[in-house]
Amino acid sequence: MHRVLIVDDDKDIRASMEAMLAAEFLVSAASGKDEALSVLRGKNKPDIILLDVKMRSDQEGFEFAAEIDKDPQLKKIPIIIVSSIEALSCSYAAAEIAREMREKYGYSNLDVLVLRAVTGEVVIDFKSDKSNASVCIQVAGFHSKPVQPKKLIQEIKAILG
Amino acid sequence: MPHIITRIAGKKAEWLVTLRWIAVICVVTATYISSEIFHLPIRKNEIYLAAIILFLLNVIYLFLNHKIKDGTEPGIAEQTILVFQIVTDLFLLTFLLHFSGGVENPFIIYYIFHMMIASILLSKRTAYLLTTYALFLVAILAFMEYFAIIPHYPLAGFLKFSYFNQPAYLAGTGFVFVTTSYIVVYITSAIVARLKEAENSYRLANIQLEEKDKIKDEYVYRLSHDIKGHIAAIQNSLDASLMIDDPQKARNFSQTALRRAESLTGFIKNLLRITRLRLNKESEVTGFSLKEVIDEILLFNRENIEKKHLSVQFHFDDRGDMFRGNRFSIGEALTNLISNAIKYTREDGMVNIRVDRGRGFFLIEIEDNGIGIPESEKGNIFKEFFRAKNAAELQEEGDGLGLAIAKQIIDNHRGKISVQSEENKGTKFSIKLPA
Repeated sequence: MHRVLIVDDDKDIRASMEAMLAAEFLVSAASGKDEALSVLRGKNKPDIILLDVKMRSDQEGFEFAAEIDKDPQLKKIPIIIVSSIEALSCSYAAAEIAREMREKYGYSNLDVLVLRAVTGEVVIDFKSDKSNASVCIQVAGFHSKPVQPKKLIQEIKAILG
Repeated sequence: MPHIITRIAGKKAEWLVTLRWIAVICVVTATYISSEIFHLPIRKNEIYLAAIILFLLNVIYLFLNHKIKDGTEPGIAEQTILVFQIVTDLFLLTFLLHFSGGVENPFIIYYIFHMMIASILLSKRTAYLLTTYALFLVAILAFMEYFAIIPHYPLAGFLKFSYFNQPAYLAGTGFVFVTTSYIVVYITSAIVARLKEAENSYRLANIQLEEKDKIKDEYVYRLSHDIKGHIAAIQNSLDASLMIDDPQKARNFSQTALRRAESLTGFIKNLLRITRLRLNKESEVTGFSLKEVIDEILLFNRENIEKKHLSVQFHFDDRGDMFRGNRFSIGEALTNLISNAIKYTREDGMVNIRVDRGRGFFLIEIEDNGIGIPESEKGNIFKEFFRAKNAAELQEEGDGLGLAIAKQIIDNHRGKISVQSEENKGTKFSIKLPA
């Protein structure tokens, strides 16, 4: 059975998602970035991470994903973002325009862009709270909360093959 | 504000340079027409020379303006440069007039333009000083030509009679000229002062509006995110309760969903409460006893106090405790503060409440030896939706509205609330309410 790590600061969400996925996967949970990192450094590394965005800080999830991306060993673990943040889905072509509108004219509803490639990968383009610049991270999927259990299970299975 | 003023000043200098280009063209054209077409005996060489000087000076001024714009020159120099420009302009105008009929030249009226420009661009005092300087130049010109210290170049063919040497005429027109000048400066600076005032208040209002708009956007963002968080938890828990087979576990998830639905209702109630508090000030004012209110709150929290073995002290000033205000709201504010003290103090901790009567005010202090507030977060604790990190760690649930509501209530009663705290040592809230 594959291992799934749920990272979310809401304990009720963690508990309910664990219950939903328990029949299909080995599920563990972490309440934030630091806890998740210690799970990743432990023995039972997860095969996939379900990651919330706004936890302790507004972009904790994104920061965590970026950190993992830098680590050559952890990089291979796919991440599905599961969040209720406002994000705009758009194509790669439109992203350029959206980014310019965000940077030049301060459209705050364009702060998080979700770009879907034909190959199935998802790139999250967001305005970092810390550096105030546009940052891109590549993830395996993006789900809006509340999740639909069947869809999520299907997607996890598809990614893990 | 200061940078707004410099920005206007930068445009002032540019405007002056533009006007001067026009002046150079006009001087050359007028001289050409008067001498070549009307054959007036003006000293055109001297006048062209003056035009060239004016042109060259303007090139220098243009260069200086660019330097100021780059920020390589400090802001104070700008005013000095403007004054210097007007001083040289006035001198050149006098120079031109001397070679084209002196005070007899009708272009003498053009001094008024310089005075208007000075009133628009510079302070009232500087404008009056420059006007006095201009009038002084005219007086010297008239005086020197009158006493033949310098030659008079008559505008033969334009005027039939010369009057530069008629004292009565000079005195009469001189008087009119002087008074006109000062009146022009007075009126112009009055208009400019009003315009400036209006412009500044518009600018300020605009900045404040933009700021408010941003705050509102952020507010809506927080709010919708918090509501969505509860809804996601409710929906997930219900989904889970339907998916799992163990009836006891399923029941637990239904209970979680119910609890989160209740939290959401509480959150929305609090939101409506704070909005209402902000919209209308406390309407129902009665006299009531602060001691009674606090006793009630402590009674209501008895279970939590006993569960954590907290020692709670309530010291009360005997010199009367009748307070006039909204009993329900004050009770709510104190409930929020006291229940926080209970919530964020570890087992066997201490909570002290004091009510003191001062001259014209009540001082209520609620002190605990609990987890405290991190130094970096003290400034935010009264903001809506804000929760300190260590508070969220100890107590996962909370909407971050309790202290915001308390502050709004105290504000509505024209009181003040302040906090002293050290992380892991304790927290003390002090409320000063006018009696």
